[in-house]
Amino acid sequence: MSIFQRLFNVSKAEVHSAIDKFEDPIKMTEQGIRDLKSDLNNAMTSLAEVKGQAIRLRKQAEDNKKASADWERKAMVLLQKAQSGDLDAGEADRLATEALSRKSEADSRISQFEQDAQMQEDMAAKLQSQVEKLKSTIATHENELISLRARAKTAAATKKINKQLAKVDSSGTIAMLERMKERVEEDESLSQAYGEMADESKSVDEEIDAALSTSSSGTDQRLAELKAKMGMNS
Amino acid sequence: MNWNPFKKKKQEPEALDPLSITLSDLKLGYVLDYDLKTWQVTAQHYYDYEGDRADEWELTCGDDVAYLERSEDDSISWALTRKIHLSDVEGDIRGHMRDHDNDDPPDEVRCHGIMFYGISSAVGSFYKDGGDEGQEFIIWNYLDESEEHTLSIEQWDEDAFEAAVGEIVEEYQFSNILPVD
Repeated sequence: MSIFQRLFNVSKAEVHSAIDKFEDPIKMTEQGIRDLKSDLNNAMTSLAEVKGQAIRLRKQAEDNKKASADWERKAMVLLQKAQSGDLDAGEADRLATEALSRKSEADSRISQFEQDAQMQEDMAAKLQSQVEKLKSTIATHENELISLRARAKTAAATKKINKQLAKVDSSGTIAMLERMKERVEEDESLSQAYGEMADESKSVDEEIDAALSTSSSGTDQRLAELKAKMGMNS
Repeated sequence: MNWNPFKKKKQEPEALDPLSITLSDLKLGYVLDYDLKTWQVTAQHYYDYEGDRADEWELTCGDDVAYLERSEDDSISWALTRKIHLSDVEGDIRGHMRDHDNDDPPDEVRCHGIMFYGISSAVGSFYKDGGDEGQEFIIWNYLDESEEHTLSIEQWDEDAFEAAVGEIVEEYQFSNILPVD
């Protein structure tokens, strides 16, 4: 492989990689659904045209049925008129034959229109099933899009938290927290040491005060009772 | 030179969502299903009743022609009617109107074996194919006891009358609405 070819392949791979990064799955899915809806719109329009054509053909067949019945009625009236002597028999036959020929033309048009209408209706049935399939596909993807949006939101939040956690430096915040804990413990030890030292450096006065303060009201009572027993005034 | 980089781009009309087409979106040529038949919109008109608009779509299925009417008061209501001859309404309607000072048809009329009771009357303008020029007419509306069947008598000229019978319908009864370009 030539060096140029390799360089070209490397560039191609880089471009693909860059484009991949640009692709937002949500936006791409939304665009995909928009494209499917556009296809559906086209399919529905075609179906409307086919169904409309079938309706028109059926109407034309109905119109020709009426025309056919009308020509037959006219032919009968002509023959009746000839029978009653109101019209020359030869002329009546000629006109009745003409009327029947028109009826026959109308009948052949009826069969043609009905055949064409049937063809359009068959085509409409096929198109209808394709439209339904497309509608169902779009509905599925729309539901998936809802789920995809929720998953993407969760993934983004998780990514953010994980990124935050990954950023936390042990020699940083945690170390600082540990230091703070140690300092509090040091403060506690120091205050305890001061307390002990204070206990050791009590003065005599403090001892007497302490002795006096320890003499409870019970002791005072007993002393008063003793003095009373000895006849001493308190 | 007409080029202007700051000129706002002309907004294209929003594409119709094929999955959200409703009955109110109907236009000429649209196709829809009702009562196991496929109908095509063959005309679209509207009425103005002193500021209140009512839309009407002519639906055709072979020889059958029906009129789908949409009116909006507190809520949207729909009716599907078919034209009849005034003579289908029992009694001498024209004579009654001629003989009474108020020129109104009777308050109660019978048609196709159903008794109808007058509920309202209005002067309206009819805009054929959504045109600009309206044609004035008077309409008398009737409902049967069940309030499901409708009858209307319209006067378009001194001696030009039209009548229609129909039924109140719901949007869900129509399906498979197909648009056209």
